[in-house]
Amino acid sequence: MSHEASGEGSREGSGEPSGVPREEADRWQQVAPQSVTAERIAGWIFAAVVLVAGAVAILSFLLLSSPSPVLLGLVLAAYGLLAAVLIWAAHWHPALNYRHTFYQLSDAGFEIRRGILWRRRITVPHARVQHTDVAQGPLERSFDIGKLIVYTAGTQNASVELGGLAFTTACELRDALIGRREASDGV
Amino acid sequence: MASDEPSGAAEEKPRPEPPKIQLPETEPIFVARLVEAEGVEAQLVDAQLVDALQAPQWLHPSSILFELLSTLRQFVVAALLAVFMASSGNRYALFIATAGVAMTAARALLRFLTLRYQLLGGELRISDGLLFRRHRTVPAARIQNIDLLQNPLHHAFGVAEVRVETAGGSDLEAKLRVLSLADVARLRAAIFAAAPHAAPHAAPHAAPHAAAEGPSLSGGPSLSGGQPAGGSDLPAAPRAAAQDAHQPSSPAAAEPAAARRGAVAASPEWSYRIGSRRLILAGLLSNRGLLLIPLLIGVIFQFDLERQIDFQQVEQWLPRGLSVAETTVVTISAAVAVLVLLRMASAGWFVFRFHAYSLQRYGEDLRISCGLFTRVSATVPRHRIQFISVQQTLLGRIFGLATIRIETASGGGTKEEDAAETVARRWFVPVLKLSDAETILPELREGLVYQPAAICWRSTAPRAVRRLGGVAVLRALVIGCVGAALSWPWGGLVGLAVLPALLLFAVRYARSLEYARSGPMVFFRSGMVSRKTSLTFFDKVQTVAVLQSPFDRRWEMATLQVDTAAAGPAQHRIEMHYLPAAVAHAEATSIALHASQTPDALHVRPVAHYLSSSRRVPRDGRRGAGAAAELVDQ
Repeated sequence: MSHEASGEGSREGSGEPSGVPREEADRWQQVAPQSVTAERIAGWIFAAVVLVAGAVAILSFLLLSSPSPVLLGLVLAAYGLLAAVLIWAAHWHPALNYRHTFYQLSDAGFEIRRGILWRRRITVPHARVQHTDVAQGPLERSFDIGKLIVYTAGTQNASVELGGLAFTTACELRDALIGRREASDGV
Repeated sequence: MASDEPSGAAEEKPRPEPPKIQLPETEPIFVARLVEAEGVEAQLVDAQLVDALQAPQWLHPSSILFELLSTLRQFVVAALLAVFMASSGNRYALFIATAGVAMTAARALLRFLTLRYQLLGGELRISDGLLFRRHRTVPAARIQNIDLLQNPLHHAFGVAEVRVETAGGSDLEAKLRVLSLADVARLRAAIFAAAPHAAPHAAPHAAPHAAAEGPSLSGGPSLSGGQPAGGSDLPAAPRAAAQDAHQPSSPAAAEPAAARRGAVAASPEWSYRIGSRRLILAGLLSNRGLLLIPLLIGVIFQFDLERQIDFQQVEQWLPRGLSVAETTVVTISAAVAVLVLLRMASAGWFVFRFHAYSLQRYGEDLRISCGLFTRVSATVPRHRIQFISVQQTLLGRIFGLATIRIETASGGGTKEEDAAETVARRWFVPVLKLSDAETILPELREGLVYQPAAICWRSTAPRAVRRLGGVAVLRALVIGCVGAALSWPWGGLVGLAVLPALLLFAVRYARSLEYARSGPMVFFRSGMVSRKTSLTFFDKVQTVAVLQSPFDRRWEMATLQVDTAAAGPAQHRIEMHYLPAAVAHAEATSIALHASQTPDALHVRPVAHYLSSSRRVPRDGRRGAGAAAELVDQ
C-alpha cells in the first residue's frame, strides 16, 4: 500500500499538479516543509496512544480469559494491521499529503488543490471571502506553522481550510485575501 | 420570450387609466382604510406615528389567546391523548392537562404583560421577559419587509401576526404575535418613514384613490396579508381564473401602474396569477396528498388506543363468499378509490394554500400573496435570490406544467419552515406552464434571459456513455454472480436480464446531465424522470470546485461543483459530473474569475472591517502571493 502510494507521490513530487494548464502550474505553491514533521509527530502521538490502548486491551483479554489460538491469532493479526495502517498514516502519509497539497492566489481567487487519490481543486473567488481565521495549536506553534481558514457564505464549502502554512505566510495570505476583497467590493 | 417582451410593452400602453377590474391591490389601500377607521388624516400618518411609537407599545390583548394557541399546537397530539383519557375518566390525565394549559396560559399572559416594542432612534426595539429580560434591536434601515399572516381567527379579532424580516436571513427576525391592524399600519408607516429606502411603496400615496374604490377592493389579495379571509376573497378567484383562460400564452398581466412607473411603485410593475383550475390540476398531479397518510395512521392509532377498534370487525362489513375475480375487482377499486382520494386531498391542499395566488413585482421587491383561509404575504427582494430552479415531475412533463423554486440566503434548510417560508421559497410559483417560465424568470432579476432552448448546453464527455456502460456491465456481472451463487446455475441469468435496463439507465443518465454558462449565469440541468433546470449568477457563486476520483483521472474527466449560499428547498445542486477534465478546470477558472469581479451583497461587513483594520492597507492579491512565495522559499 505504502509502496504504491509513495510511487505515485514521487511522480507528483515535482510540485506540478496534473490536470491544470501548463502556464498555471508554475504558480502553485506548496505549504511549509516543516509541516510534514509536525504532522508526523502528531501522527506518532496518536498511533502510540491507540496502539498502547490496544495492547492493554489485548493483554487484559489474554489474562482474563483463555481464548482459543485461532481467536488469538485473529486478534493479533487485526492488531498488526491496525499498527501498520497507523504507522503508515503517521510516517508516510504526511509526506505524501505534502506533495499533493498546493495553493495559489490568482486573479480568480484563492485556490487550493489537494487529495492523493480523490483530488479536489477548490477556488474561493476574492469577492466571496466573508472572513478568515488563522489558527495555531501548541504543536503548530512550536513549528511556527498555522492553519488558514477562509469562510464563505456557501453551504457545501462554507469554510475552506489549508493547514501547514508557515505562520507568517498564513497571515500574509489572510491580509491579501481581506485586502483584495475590500478592493473588489467597491467595484 | 423575445416575442413576449414587446407584447408586454404593448399591453401597458393602451391603458392610460386603470380599468375597473385591474384592482391596485396594494397596501396603501389597506393603510388608508385602517387609518380612516381610526379617524386619522392619511397625510398626517407619517410624521405623527413615528413620534407615537417612541414610547413602548403593548401587543394586542388577544395576544394571550394566540400565544396560548401556538404553544398548544405543538402539543396537539399530547392534548388529544389527554382529552381522550380524561373523557374515559382518568383524573390524573385531566389534572396534568389542566395544569399544562394553566401553565401555558400563564406564560402567554406573562409574555403579553412584559413584551414591549418601540421605534426609537431609527431602531425597532423589542424587549420581553420578566426575570430574564431580552432586548432585541433591529435597525429600521435593515428591515426588508413586514410580512403578515392572518388566519380566520386573527381576522375575527382584527389582528395579524407580524414578522419583521431583515436582510441577511441568518439574523434573528423579530416576531410580534399579534398586533391590531391599526397598530400594524402604524408600525409599517413608522418603520418605513424611519428608513424610506427600505420600502418605497409604503407611503399612503394612493389613499384617496383607494378610498374612492370603496369596499369592492377587498377582493384582491392584499399585499400586506391583512386580507379579510373567507367570503371577501371570492371575487378574486373568478377574476384570476378568467385571466388565466383568456390569456393562456401570456399570464403576465400588465398592471395599470406600469404606465406611471416613474412614480413610487404603489402598484405592481408586473404580476402573475394562477387560476383555480390550474391549481386544482397541479394538485391532482402532485403527491401532496400522501402527507395525509401519517395523519390518518395517527388518527387510527388514537382511536384504536381508546376504543379498541378491532380491525377484524371490518371484515363483517365486507360481503362474504366472493370469488377470486370479485375480490380482485374489489381490491383494485379500493386502491383506485384511495388513489383518487389522495389526489383530491392534494388538490385541496393546493387550493387551501395557494388560492388567489399572485406574484407581483414592485421595483426590486417580489411579493407573493395567497391562501384560502390563512392569507400569507411574503416579500422577496430580487437581489436576495441566489438560485432559481424550474422543476418538472413526470406528470408535470406530460401536462407541460412546472414549479419554480427559489433559494435566498436565509438558510431555508436549517430553519424550521413556516407558512410564509414555504410559500416564498419552496413554492415560489407553485404551478406554471413550462413556457411561462421564459416570461417569469426575467422578472426575477434584472437582465436575466431564460431561453433553455436557445442555450448552448454542454453535455457530459462523449466517453461518459462508454464509461457508464462499462459500470453497468460490471454491475450486471456482480448481480449475475450473486444470482448464480444463490441458485446455480440459472440464477446467473438475472444478471443478463437486468443488463439492458442498467445500460439504458447508464445512457440516459449520462445524457441527462447538462451544463451551460451564458451571460452572467451558470445553468445546470439534470434528472431522467423529473427534470430540474437550475441557474445561479456569478455574483452568487461562493466557491467553485473540481473533483477527480481515480476513475475520473483514468477517463480524463472531472466533476464541476458550483457552491452557492443556497441549500434549501430547491434540492438541487450544481454538480456536473463527467465533464472532460480540461473543460472542468477551464470552466472553474472562468466562473471564479467572473465571480471575483462581481461584488456580493452577502458580506458581513463588520467582521471584515475588524480584521482588515487590525492589519495594514489593502493590497494587491498577486503581490500577496509573491510575498508568500518568498516566505516559503526561506
